[in-house]
Order: sequence, then C-alpha cells, then structure tokens
Amino acid sequence: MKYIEIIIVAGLFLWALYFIIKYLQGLFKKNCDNPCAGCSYSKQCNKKYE
Amino acid sequence: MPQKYNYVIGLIGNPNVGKSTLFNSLTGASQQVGNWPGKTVEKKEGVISWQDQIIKLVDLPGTYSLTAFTKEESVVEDFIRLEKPEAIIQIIDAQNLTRNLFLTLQLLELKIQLILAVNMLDLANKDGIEIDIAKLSESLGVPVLEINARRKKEIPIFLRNVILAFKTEQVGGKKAAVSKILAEHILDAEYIHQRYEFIKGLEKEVVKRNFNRSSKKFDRYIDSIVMNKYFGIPFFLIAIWLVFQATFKLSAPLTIWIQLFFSTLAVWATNFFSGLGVSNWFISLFTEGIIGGVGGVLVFLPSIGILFFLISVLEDTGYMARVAYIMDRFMHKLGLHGKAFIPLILGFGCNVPGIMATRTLQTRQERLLTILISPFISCSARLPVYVLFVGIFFAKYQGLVIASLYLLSVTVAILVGLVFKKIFSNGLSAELLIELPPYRYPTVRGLLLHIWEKIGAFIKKAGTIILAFSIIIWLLASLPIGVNYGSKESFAGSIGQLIAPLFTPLGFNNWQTGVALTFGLVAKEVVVSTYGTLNGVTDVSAGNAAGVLSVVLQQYFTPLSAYAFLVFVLLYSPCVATIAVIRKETVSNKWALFVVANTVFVAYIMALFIYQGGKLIGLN
Repeated sequence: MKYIEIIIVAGLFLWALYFIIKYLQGLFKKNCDNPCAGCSYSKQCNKKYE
Repeated sequence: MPQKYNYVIGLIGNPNVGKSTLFNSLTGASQQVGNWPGKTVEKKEGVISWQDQIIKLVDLPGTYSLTAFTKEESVVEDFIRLEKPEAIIQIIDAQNLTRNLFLTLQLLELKIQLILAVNMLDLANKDGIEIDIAKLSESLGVPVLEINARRKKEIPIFLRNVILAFKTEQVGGKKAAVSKILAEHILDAEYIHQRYEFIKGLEKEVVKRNFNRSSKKFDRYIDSIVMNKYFGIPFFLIAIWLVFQATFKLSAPLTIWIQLFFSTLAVWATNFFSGLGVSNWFISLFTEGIIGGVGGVLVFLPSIGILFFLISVLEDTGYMARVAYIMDRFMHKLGLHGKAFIPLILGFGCNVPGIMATRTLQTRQERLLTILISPFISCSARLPVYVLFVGIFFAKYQGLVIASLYLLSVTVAILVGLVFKKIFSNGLSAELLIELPPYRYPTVRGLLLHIWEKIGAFIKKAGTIILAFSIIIWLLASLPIGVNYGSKESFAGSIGQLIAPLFTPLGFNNWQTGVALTFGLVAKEVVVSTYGTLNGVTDVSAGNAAGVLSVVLQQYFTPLSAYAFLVFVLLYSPCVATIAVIRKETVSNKWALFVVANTVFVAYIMALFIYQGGKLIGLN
C-alpha cells in the first residue's frame, strides 16, 4: 500500500509541476497564430446552421 | 490543413453598435460584449456552416473611420487591404444613422462589397425614429437588412438573407452616388463636409422622426442626476458601496453551504481513506492539500458570482458607460487621458483584457502610461483575499472596507499616472469619445452569460493552476520527512521565514504570509489557497472551514495589520498572466520587469504608511 501511495503522490506532484511549467510557457509564448487562442471564447467560435 | 471557406466576411461598424453581440449570435461564441466602446481591440474569427457554405466571419474592432489613427483602426484597414474579404457587413445603430453612415461612405468609396445591417431598430422606433430600409438600400446601392443582434431567433433569417445577397449578386456592385469621392481623400476636410452633406440629404429621404420621444426624456432626467457635475461621483461611490454590501449579504448563506460541503467532503475523504488503511500523510494530501487549497478558494464562488451579477446589471442598464464619462471628466481635469479609464474599468474584471484595451489609445506614450497603471486596478482574483480577511477582521464594515480598497486602487492608479505623466510629458491628451447608450433593462441571457464567464473562469482556475499549486505547497509543507505538517521546519516554513522579516515594518511578519505572498505572484487567489493548504481549512474537528482559518489568522494579524496586508495584496506585483501580456503589448522585458518593481515598491510604501501611520494615531 505504501508504494501505491508514493506512486500516486509522485504522479500528482509531476502533473502539478508539468502543468505549472506549461501554464507559464503558454503565457510567455511569442506568437499566436490563432487569433482566438488564449481567449475564453475561442473554443466555440463555430456554429452550424441547418 | 487550412480550412477552405466559401466566403470571408468582416463585421465592421462604429464602437458599441452590437458587432460582438451579432458575432456571438452567428458563431455561437461568447466573446465579451458591453455597452461602452473599446471592448474589442483585436479581430476575432469564427466559422459558420450554412447548408453547403462555409463562411469565415471576422469581428473587427469598432471604428468611426478608416484613418488608421489608433490600433483598432489599423486592424480594420489591414483586414480590408490584406485579407480582401468577399464582403463586409456593416452594423449600423438605427438610433445614430448620421454618425454610422460616415463609415458607410468611406467603405463605399473603397468599392468594397458591402451589406448594411441596421441594428436596434426597435429602440429607434421607441424614440420616434423610423427608417425606410428599402429606400436606404436603393439610395446607397447596397443590400440593407434589418437585424436585432440580441434576438437569437432572428439570426438564421438574417444569415439566409446575407447568403441570398451573395447568390443574387446584389452586394455593393452598383455605383452609389457617392462613389466619385475617392478613398485617398479620406482626411480632406472638404470631402468630410461633402460626406456629411450627402448624409444629411439621405437622412431627409429615409428617416422620419416623430415628436414622441418619451424614452429620451426619461434618459435625460436620470442623466441629470447620475451625471450631475457635483453629485455624479458621490452617486457612483454610493452605488459601489451598495454593490459590495449586497454582495456580502446575499453571498453569506451560500458561502456557509459551500464551506459545509467541503468540510463534509474532508470528513468523507478521511473516513474513506482510513478505511482503506492508508497513511495519515496520504490522507493529509487530500484533506489539507487539495480540499484545503481548492476548497478554500471555491468557497468564495458565491461572492464572485453575485458581485459580477451586480456589476453586469450596472453595465447592461447603461450606467457604467456614464461612469466612464464622469471619470473621463475627472481624469481630464487632472491632465490624464480620459480614454484611459475604459481599460481601467475592464481591469476590474481582469487586468489582462484591461491592458489589451489600451490599444484604443492613440500614441505609444499614452498606451504605455495606461499599461503601467493598469495593474493597480483591483481585479476579481484579489476578491477572495478581501472577502476572507474582511469577514474575519471587519465583520461589521465589510462593504465599506472592500469599497475603500477598490477606491484606493483607482486613486493609486491615478496618482502614479500623474507621476508618469510628468516624467513622459506627453503633451495634450485627447478627449474620450463615448456615446451614452440608452438606459435598458438587462436581459437575463446577457446577465447569465456575464456571470457564467466569471464563474466558469474561476472554477477552471481552481481546478487547474490553484490545484497544481496546492499540491506543490502541500509537498513543501510536508518535507523533509519527519517534520510536522505545515511547521516552521518544513521547506515551506524555510521559504516563509526567509521572506517574512521584510514585512515586519508592515505589521505581518509571519512565515505563512511570506509563503502566501510568494506563491500569490502566480495568481492572487493562490494567497488564499496557500493559507488553506498550510492550515487545513477543512479541519474536520472544527466543524466548518472559516472557523479554523479565522483562529489562525487572528493570531497573525490585528485589524490594522490586516488592512495593511490587504493594501499590499491589492497593489503588489500583478499575476504572471498580466506580466506576460504587458511584455507582449510593450514588446519589452524591461517594461514588464519595471511594472513588477514599481508595483511592489508602491505596495510596500502604501502598506508601510497605513500600518505605521495607523499605529501613530493609536489604531491597532
């Protein structure tokens, strides 16, 4: 059980570290081709009419 | 692979005529809309599928002309020149035909395929303005469609008419009477005069005005009170105080429910993991680290939601546009650019769009000055810190204390702006050109969209960056092996003790605050989640969350040092997202670093002044 606990905690720690690095990298990324990228509305600028 | 579009269409128009609302309705996006100019400073793209047609729709920033004085005008000009759209839909505010048609004439002169969409006809009718759409179309030689951008059910019909206009090749092909005025004379005063003469004549033909203008009378009556030279600002201060007072009163019961939910969740998690026979430190990760950190921030969800609901009501009724006008008058007297107040107002939600909105300013110096003062504006991320501390130390005066922090943020921004103005000495500042929207009842959909935008972003932040930092802080508070969780001897304790002495003159030299302020550089909410993680706000023995943190924080702070701490949190370095956008907008690491140094310096001096000054006059 102890090993599983360590693996879970290590996994969560690595995820947290990875996420923070990605987050910071994303903020300081130089060029953004998609004009909607990084905006809260970007994910759904798409609509289909029948 | 790049997508193939049948048509590329640009949405153009004067500021505040409903372009973003129409864009949202057409594309299903939820771009921020508002009734003051300058909310859209970049072009935004969306894709619409209509039967077999795929249309790329581009929402352009609001512009009065095509003169490329400001950045948003350049964006429009570049789009027309470089992307060569198949057509432009110009949204026209039916209530202000003269001003809107000026841009129409410029577009016609450029021989652009144009479709006019007349918006807000219902409001114009209420004001006694009737427009003969068919005659307008005939006179200009372009299709003119009616649209109510706020009514979603009308959108498919509008879209069908736009496509029909393409298919029947009606679009802007005819030579209008104005086409002899060439585009290269855009700035020529004689041609400007000619354009207005043409518009005057056109208006006589297509617009009928009745004398029944009761709604305007009502607007003028309200404006005479809220925009009064003497009462305008006091009225605004009272409105802000009421907003915060109502936020606390209304959110209190909901906050307690959420606190109880997280306490129960912590009890459940403890029992569940104990049943599995796992170690106490592992249980601590979930109860103290994750539930303490993330839950400690999420309890403020009702406060955020209610505050932004009330602010949205002020916005949607048209009052905030009046506030911008009042503040413009005030700032202009001080010698600051009135237009700078729009980015500052946006900054109350989040400093990032606030800083991006500085693109509406004309010169680089004006932009830079506004960027430098924008981080002082109290964004929504700072609210959880205020609510936590004010609830503990200023329970009787919650609304008043928070309103004072918001006012302080504007005051400091203006004062620092004046200092920079002296240094930059950038001469005369331009007036703010703002059109006051008529007073309107806010729509339920609009209000819900605003609130969801804020709440959704807050929940997302709690589930991502705050969760990640809670895990890291928990680990730092648990290591090295053998130390008590959250003790001075832990790694977190060492970091905190290293920083804490710097704050001794400000009245808060405890190590936990040192850790909270350090990690709060990433996002201001992390200040609260750090206290939550280090103290385990959801300590099951306490019964509810606030109880534990309240006891802990009262050991560290007095009401005076708590206020000095709040002022420090309000003013010190912006979050990394803001620093990144400053770097992007100024294209300079130097200015980004300067903003960090400047804000920390100002925050330190202000907190020092408040704490030491307060002590001198016998406050505690």
